[in-house]
Amino acid sequence: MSDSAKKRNCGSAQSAPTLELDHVTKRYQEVTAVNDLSLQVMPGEIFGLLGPNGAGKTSAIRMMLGIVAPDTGTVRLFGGTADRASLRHAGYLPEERGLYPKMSVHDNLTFFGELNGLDSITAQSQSRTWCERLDLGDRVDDKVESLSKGLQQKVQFIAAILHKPEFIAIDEPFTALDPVNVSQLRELLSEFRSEGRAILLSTHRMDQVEQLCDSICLISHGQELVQGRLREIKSSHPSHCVEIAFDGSGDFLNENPLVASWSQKPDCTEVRLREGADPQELLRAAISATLVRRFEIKEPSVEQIFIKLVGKA
Amino acid sequence: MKAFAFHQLWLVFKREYRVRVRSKAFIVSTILIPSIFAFVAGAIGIIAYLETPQLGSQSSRVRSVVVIRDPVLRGILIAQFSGEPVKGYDFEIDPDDSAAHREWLQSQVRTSALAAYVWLNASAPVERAEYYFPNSDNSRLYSYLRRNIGLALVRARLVSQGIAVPSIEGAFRPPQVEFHLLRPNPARDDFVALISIFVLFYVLAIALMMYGAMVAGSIAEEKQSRIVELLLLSTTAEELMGGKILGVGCVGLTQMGIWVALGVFLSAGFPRAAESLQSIHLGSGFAACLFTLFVLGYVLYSTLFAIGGALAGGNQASAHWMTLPMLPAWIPLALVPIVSSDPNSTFSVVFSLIPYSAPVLMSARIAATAVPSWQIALCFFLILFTAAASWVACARIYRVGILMYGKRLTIREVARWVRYA
Repeated sequence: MSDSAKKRNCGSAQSAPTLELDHVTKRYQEVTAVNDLSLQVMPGEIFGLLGPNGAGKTSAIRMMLGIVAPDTGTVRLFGGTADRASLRHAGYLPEERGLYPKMSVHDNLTFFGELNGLDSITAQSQSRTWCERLDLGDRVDDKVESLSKGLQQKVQFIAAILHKPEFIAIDEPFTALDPVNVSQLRELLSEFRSEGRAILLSTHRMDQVEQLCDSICLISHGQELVQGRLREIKSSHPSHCVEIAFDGSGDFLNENPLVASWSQKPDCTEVRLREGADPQELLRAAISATLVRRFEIKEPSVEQIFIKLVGKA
Repeated sequence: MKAFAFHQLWLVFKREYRVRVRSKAFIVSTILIPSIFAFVAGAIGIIAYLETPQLGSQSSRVRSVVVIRDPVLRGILIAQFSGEPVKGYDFEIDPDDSAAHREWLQSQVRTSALAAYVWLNASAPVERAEYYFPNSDNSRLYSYLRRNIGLALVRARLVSQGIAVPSIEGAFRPPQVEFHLLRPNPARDDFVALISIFVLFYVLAIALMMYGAMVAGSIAEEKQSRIVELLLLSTTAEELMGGKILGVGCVGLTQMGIWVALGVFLSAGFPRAAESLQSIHLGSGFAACLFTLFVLGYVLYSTLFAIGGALAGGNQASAHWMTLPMLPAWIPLALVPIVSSDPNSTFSVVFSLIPYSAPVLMSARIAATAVPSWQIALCFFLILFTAAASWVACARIYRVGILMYGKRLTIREVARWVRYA
């Protein structure tokens, strides 16, 4: 297991990880899709698996769910191998949506529910309950192909969680959803987290990562770039951006050796510092020249960290 | 590693069967296919009817003239032609062997007013016959004229040698021939054998193409739409492939059952057709053999179609994989005439035991001759064994193939999957 994965486990509650990848590698001929990846997803945690296109996220998820076997390394789900018994407690929302377009919403959901271990009656009742809950109650008997992309996405989500899985892998769940449905889905994910379920979220929506994820793992070319608790990662990446609200002239920013650039916002001034510049020095300069009402060192966003690390890789 | 679970196979089977049987395509094809058959058969019948010259229609009758002056030979020829008349053909025996008449006959044939004329030399015994046709597409008429004129001339020669006519007719009468089969054919008679071969081959060919393509199409669709990723979370490739093949197979049996039921029902309205159907009594052992070969053949071939679908799967670059399963289905059909004409030759025995040609060729042999029981048993075993081995190999290819998108696949690569998957 990588140091970052171990460290994160020590920092969290001392329960066994729901999912554990231990030095997992997967090659497709000359291409190494996943290279020596280790990570842990704990119960009651939303874990973000991030990376640019072609980074190996889907290959990693397929290995987690036993769809493909790793060449080296081990995958442990609920402490054991990813076999049929453990996979009964796993749900998957793939990036490429997969439903039978000619079948009704109800038949699709019942089929996937039964495949995932529910008996026919429970699968049918659960599918109706979830459709009601996600405002699809009046479309239950419609064919999937007649639904909009956003509604199909909701049906797909229900198919992934109908059997109450303890581990849910969701790949780009917010695609095609309007803001209301994004919010609804986010609330559901938070609810699942509070129920102690483990969620692996793969998305390019960094704003959602900021709002939802407890931990992240950023990979590129199949390799881990950074992994850990989101807060710790953010604090370990120094910011080069401060926001200052002051009364007085902003002349002290002009030709200042600490400042790379600055821009005026409605309620403050955003300043980008040069590499290696100390924000405290800028604060002193601001106090000496103006009446400072607010000075805030801005944390880097996940997006900024993503761009910075992936750009370097 | 997931162990094989029949429950998952059952769920895939159930979905495949239900969806397909309820689909519009199933209803349309169930009605359309027999309608197309009926239409084609009807069209062939109408064309054949129109092409045959009809009695009573003077303009469409085919006229031929045989010119012979000798009155004895003329009488024999008249008796010969009237003894073996042909529907739609008129034969005239003309005594006028003048040069002018010959010129006129020549012009009649040239303009197709006359189908043919035959010029026999005047003096008996006749040693030479000249046949005149407008072109070379009169082989049927030529054969008929040649045969009858030949027989008449032989009779005339015998008469000229003083042999009495009753003796001649007695010499020409064919002996009564009786066939005694010491190893009786399971098919009761030639008609039953012919019907069973015809029905079996066409049903097998249609089933293989249609339902095999349905299996391939279904897999390709799931691969293309990526449903397969979701399915593989809770099923294995073997369960998925098995459920599809069996599900589509049962759809096929349902459809054929409907056709048979429909045929029986409709034949009630046509007493002659019902009589013909009732005359077909296949022995229960024979019917069981045909059914077993059909089912085993379907499983064997559809496994190949499943691979075709898994490899092609909406990827244009790999579309050629879809056509490969057609070969083992069609090659045996091409060998059927050879096997039917000599069902006990070494060639027929060997090819009826090779698993990929056995379903068709063993059926052809069973219909044509009494195949030893050990050969039938060996054939069943070999097909079953190959189907099981193919199933394992195909599941390996399938497992990798269904997750391989947008990539051109080579035979080498696929062979590697079989070894290492």
